[in-house]
Amino acid sequence: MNWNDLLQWIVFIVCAALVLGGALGMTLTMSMYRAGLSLMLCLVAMAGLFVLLEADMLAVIQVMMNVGGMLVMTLFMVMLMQDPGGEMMWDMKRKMQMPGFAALSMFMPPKPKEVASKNSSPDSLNQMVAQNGAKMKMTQTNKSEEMKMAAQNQDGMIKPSSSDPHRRLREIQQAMAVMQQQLVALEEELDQPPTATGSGNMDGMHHSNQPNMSSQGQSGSSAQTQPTFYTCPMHPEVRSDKPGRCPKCGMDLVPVEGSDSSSGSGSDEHSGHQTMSGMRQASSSDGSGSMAGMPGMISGAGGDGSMNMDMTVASMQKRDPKGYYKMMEGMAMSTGQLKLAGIFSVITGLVLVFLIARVAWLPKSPALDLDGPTRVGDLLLSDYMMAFEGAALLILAGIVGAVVLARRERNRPQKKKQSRIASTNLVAPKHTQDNTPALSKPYLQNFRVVQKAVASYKAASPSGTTTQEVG
Amino acid sequence: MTGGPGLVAYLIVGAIMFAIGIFAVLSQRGAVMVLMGIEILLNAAILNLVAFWRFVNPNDYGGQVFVIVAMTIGAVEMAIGLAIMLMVYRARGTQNIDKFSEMKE
Amino acid sequence: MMSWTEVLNALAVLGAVLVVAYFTAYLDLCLATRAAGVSLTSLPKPLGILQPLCITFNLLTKRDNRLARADHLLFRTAPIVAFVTILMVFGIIPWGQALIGRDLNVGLFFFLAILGPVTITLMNAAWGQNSKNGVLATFRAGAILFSYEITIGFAIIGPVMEAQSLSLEKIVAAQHSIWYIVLQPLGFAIYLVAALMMSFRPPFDIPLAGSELAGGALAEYSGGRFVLYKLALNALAFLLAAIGVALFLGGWQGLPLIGPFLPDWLWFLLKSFGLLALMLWCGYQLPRLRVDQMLALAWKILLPLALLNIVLVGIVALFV
Repeated sequence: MNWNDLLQWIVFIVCAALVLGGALGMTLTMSMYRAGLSLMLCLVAMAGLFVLLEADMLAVIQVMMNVGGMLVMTLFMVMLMQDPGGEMMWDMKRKMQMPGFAALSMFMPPKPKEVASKNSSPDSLNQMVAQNGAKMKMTQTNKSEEMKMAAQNQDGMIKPSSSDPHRRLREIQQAMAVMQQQLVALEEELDQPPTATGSGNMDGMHHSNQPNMSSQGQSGSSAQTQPTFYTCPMHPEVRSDKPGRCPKCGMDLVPVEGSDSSSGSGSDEHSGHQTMSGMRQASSSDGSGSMAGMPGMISGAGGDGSMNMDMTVASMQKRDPKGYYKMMEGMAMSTGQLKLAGIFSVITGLVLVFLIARVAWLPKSPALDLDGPTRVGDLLLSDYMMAFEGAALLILAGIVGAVVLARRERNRPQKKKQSRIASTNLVAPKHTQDNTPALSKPYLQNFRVVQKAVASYKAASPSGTTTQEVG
Repeated sequence: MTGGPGLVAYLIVGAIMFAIGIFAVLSQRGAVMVLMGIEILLNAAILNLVAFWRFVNPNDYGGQVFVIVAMTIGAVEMAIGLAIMLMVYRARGTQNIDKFSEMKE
Repeated sequence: MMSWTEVLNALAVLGAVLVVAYFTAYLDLCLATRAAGVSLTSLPKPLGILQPLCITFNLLTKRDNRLARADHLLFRTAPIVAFVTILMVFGIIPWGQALIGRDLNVGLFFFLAILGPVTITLMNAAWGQNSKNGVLATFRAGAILFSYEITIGFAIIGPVMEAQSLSLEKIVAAQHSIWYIVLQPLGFAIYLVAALMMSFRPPFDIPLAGSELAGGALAEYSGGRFVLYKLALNALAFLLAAIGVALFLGGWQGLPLIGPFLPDWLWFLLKSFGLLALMLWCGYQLPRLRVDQMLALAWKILLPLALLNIVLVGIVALFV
């Protein structure tokens, strides 16, 4: 074996590894964008194999067609999937401590029997609120210390330093619990009935007390039940329960739906993929979207303000199989027949390799001339004229068919207005209201609560300086 | 084995790729992912075609013409598939193929 | 068979990329300052040529940003892949007579195919930073790919039909009597517009737009990666001008009437930088296009014109 052959083998092995790795990576990743890219890598590496086979022109055509084609596929997936960056699913996988490869662990469980789940979501929610209330009563004392602690917590959270989502979440939730108690205590001490805005805030806090991922699913269902209140587009701290004018700038107040009140005004800049996913949810026709099963997860979260880490797959399946099934129905990448598919494909591969290995193949025969493009051109215009014309007609038919199929019907009544928004209006910022990343929502509400607590603390303090109405 | 990688090497790569494609088609739920799996299947076949052309009869460039036509078919299939997907998505609001199973029941 | 000459060739190509990217940066700076009507350079006139060097060193001393919720794999590999891809295409530029990295018999196809991934890396860079502007930039970069690819493909078919070869060396050699810009001015104009799209220069710099997307795809890069990306984009602009020269302006051949009184590589460089200056200057005079305007321009105006150009070139090739 001389040097040239060795080089050929090295190139072959590298290209083959890229081809197979790209193909496998497509099925194993959770990020849709990465799936499209790894398929592109697979097909481009195949062009390397073509070069090794001395079919230069085919290699170039392969790259040209597949880069464009896979790009279209990737963009389509990004538009159609609800979580194209895979962030939400990674969070969930980490939180539930799912083992194994990325997408393989997110497969559909077998369908459970029709058993009523013991702790349905509203019950558990009430339970949680009740627990919180009980705790609040217990810790009414020494509020000034708690105030300090809350302030510290808030400082800690504003720094974007901590990278571990678990720890941040726990910090936030602890701070939330502390401040909730504090707020109640302050209000009781002031002997005032809680105002409408106060209760709105409380509602928001109850929602954000739940774990990270459920916040989006919750917002869909809670939007109808929450009271709508009004806020100034320029001064989000101004709130009122009836329409009117802003006391600060005189603009008309705009209605805001209950629990989303704080998320629209300030959103994290780093939320692109979540934005896309949120758009999908807002646009999916069955309102609740794919997160419909998510309230089932509340049963896994503790009500004492700290995250309950016992949210593994096994425990969840045991406690609430139906909820788990519903959750996975929206999230899972692969079907329930994952194992069967794996076995079948392995058998196929083995059979093919066995058949190939049994045949005595011919040795390599040398190509005579390497001016492939000219020869192929000649052939296309002489012997294979019909095939060439047929392919051209096929392409034409494909283009026309694709355009006709994908064209938007103009005359039909606008039944599916949401999905229309989804496919075209990627720019409109007003649809991104409840798409802030899951972390920023409790974070912002937390900030509001601190503001409010400080304000009411000032109001209650004996020195009685400028009492500003924040609510 | 003398010389560089022979026909068997390319055929085995094609076979493994085909198996992966079958796995992708059978296991994925997103319709676009299934389309991508079909793309892998088609390209495994194309790799075999090119390898056969090179090792069996490299002087007949008709093999390359065949590959070009196959690639064309792949592109057209993808375009039509995506258009159908977009239509279904507009009608249903989802691209999850498990949700399209009412013919079964 | 690998030999020392090939290694030397590769190193020469790398050196060429660095040099032309530097001068492209300088040219761009000059034109941008002229178009903006302000002086962006802090150095006096003869030393102004050192300005890109100063900027480069300034950037290299900056810290490499680490993003919190980014797709790190895509984000960090994007500049490297872009640079390597462009390096590969520099191998097929015919700098002079028999002065070419490697003359491929599918040269022009190779050029078209391999520049697609450059746009993909820009999309990766934009998507990887995981921000709203980044997602918008991703889609805009995709729109650019869909705009230029078909158009430029049809525009470069003209010289191929005339020279009856895809090899750049043969196309240049076929222009010894008459440059193809005389025979197909329409194709040349279409090529220029498509090349502006392809190199992400104004007025088609929508994925990088500073005033709309706060830098778009390159917004989050800093330090060495930013320098590498800028290098790749500048080299890309020069590359497109150089291919345009090889296709339409006679490549390394001197002016037809005056004759070759300069060395061939110098002719090639002069023509390339001249064409580049023309392209960039035209671009800076125009307002930035929206995505839909750009797509409409490419598919409704340039593509029919390119088809018309093919018909005209066919008539010329048959009867003249």
